[in-house]
Amino acid sequence: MRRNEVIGMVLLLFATLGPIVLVFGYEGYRQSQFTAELIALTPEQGNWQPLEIRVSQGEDVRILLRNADVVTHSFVVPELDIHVNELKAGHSKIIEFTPQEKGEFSYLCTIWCSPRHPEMVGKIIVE
Amino acid sequence: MAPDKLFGLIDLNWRYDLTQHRPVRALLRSRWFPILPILFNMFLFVVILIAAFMGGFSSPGNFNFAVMMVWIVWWVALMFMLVPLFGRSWCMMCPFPVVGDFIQRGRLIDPTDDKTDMDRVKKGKIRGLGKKWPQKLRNMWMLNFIFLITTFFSPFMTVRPMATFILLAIIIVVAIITAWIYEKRTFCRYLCPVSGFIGLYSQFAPVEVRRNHKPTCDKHFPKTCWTGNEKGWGCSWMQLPFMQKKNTYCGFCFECFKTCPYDNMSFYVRPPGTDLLVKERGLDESWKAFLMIGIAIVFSVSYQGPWEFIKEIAHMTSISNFLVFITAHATLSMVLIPLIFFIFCWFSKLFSGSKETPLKQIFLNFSYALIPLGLGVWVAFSFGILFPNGSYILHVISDPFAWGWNLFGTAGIPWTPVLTYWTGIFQGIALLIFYTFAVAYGFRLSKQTYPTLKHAKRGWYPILTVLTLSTVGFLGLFIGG
Repeated sequence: MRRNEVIGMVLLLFATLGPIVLVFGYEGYRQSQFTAELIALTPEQGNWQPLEIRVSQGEDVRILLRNADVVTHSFVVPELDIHVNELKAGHSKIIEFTPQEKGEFSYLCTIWCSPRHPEMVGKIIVE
Repeated sequence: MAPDKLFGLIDLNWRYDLTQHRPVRALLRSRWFPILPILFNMFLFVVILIAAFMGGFSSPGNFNFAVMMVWIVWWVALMFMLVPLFGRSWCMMCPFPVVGDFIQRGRLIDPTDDKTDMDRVKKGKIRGLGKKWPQKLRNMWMLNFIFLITTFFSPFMTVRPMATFILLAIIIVVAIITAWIYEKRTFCRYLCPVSGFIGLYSQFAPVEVRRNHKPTCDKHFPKTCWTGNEKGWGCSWMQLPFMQKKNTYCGFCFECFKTCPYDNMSFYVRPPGTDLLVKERGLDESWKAFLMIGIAIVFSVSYQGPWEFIKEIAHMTSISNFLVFITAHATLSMVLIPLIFFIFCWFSKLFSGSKETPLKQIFLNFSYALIPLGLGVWVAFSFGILFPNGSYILHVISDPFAWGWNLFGTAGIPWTPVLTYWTGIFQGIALLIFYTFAVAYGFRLSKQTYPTLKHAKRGWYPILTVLTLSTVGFLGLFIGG
């Protein structure tokens, strides 16, 4: 096979497989830097995902909060004094805190996002 | 005889050969062109496919790389620049057929490195069945129906990432299967949903690929631009480059540049729209022109108009709404608009006083005046897409999958409508510019159609009327009352 053909095939492989490797590789590396990824969706679309986040007392927590919905949400953990008052559709935010006490702490959306908005409640369990 | 000058300024026979410049000719003769732009676009489209797939059905389309890149960036680039200025330049760098080309040819870059491959190169096929597309379908009719059907689902496809993925996946799979069964770029020429309007509006583009010196081609056998040789493949688009007269089916693959042993192919700059006067016409193309105007009306009214009940029907909130939408859409585009145009052509024949000119000929010829008009309508419509939505592009290039990335630091830029106050003005200017081209070529088409200048002038008035009324109608639609 001529050199041109070899170079062409390498470029073709890079053009087809390269994005897949780069995208998921980078995302894997990013995810490794977070304690958890929390996706905001209305209860009709699946609610918070996950509905439960387990963390350790005294350890730094880093949560990637992502609004994968088409409406605006918020993220509030009243007992931990965490407030993201508005997270627009398609946007993300990083939440960082260090829980000092054990227990279960509810997180909720405080923006009326759907008829089942009151069901949009999850919990952070500090162990 | 005095030269025919467009707007009294540019001789319609004027051509400027860009390939007289050595770097341009070297580029077009290089085996790495256009495969390198194709591979670059393939990289982008794989990212688009990932974004579309991962976006699913529920993710907001305006924050999805696939939706933004395909329906805002690519579409607007196609209508603003690629087609009106460079004809089928998108087809030149489209990544969809490259897998099919590889299946057929067995190689990506050079045509052959073995003399025994030459026979297969000359036949234009190595692998696959290499069947010829049915004669009766060798026109734009299939493209018309495929594109029409695609637009039935636009309200869904343009906002749901997964719908965009499904559409692109279908196109890719069909392209690959077609390449396996049929010869060369049969998919591109007869099945690609966007090929029809790109080809139609390429007739307006101010560039062309044509043979340079006719006697050189007359004496040359075999015609390697058609058969291929050790330097390249025969025309992938099943054209005869040595006698090509229109841009409609020239995909700018530039194989003819590589295979011509006399360097007799040239890439010319020319006055826009000269193909409209070439007497190779067909009702399939006429209907494409009607269809594009009909779709522009439907989209403008549905997506940018003030009538809420029409928006509700167009967004297909129920099966009955969907059926109403597609019925109204198809009837308008494929029946009503051609009928209205036919009536004006009938009046044209009546006013002209020419009894010997067939009505079908009048209808066919004048329908080509709708090409610049339709292109102007789509350029105008595209302003209405770009200005309100363009700022989302800054977000998606940094965070293409809405995963919280910020590659270029622009993910936090909020949605910001740009120049929306001026949208109507830009749309109006675009419409008027292309209206002048429609009028300029429309009268020339009248002179081609009728036997004398007197008949042509009289027969021109009804057509001028319908072009003017259409433009005024679109001005009203875009700018408002």
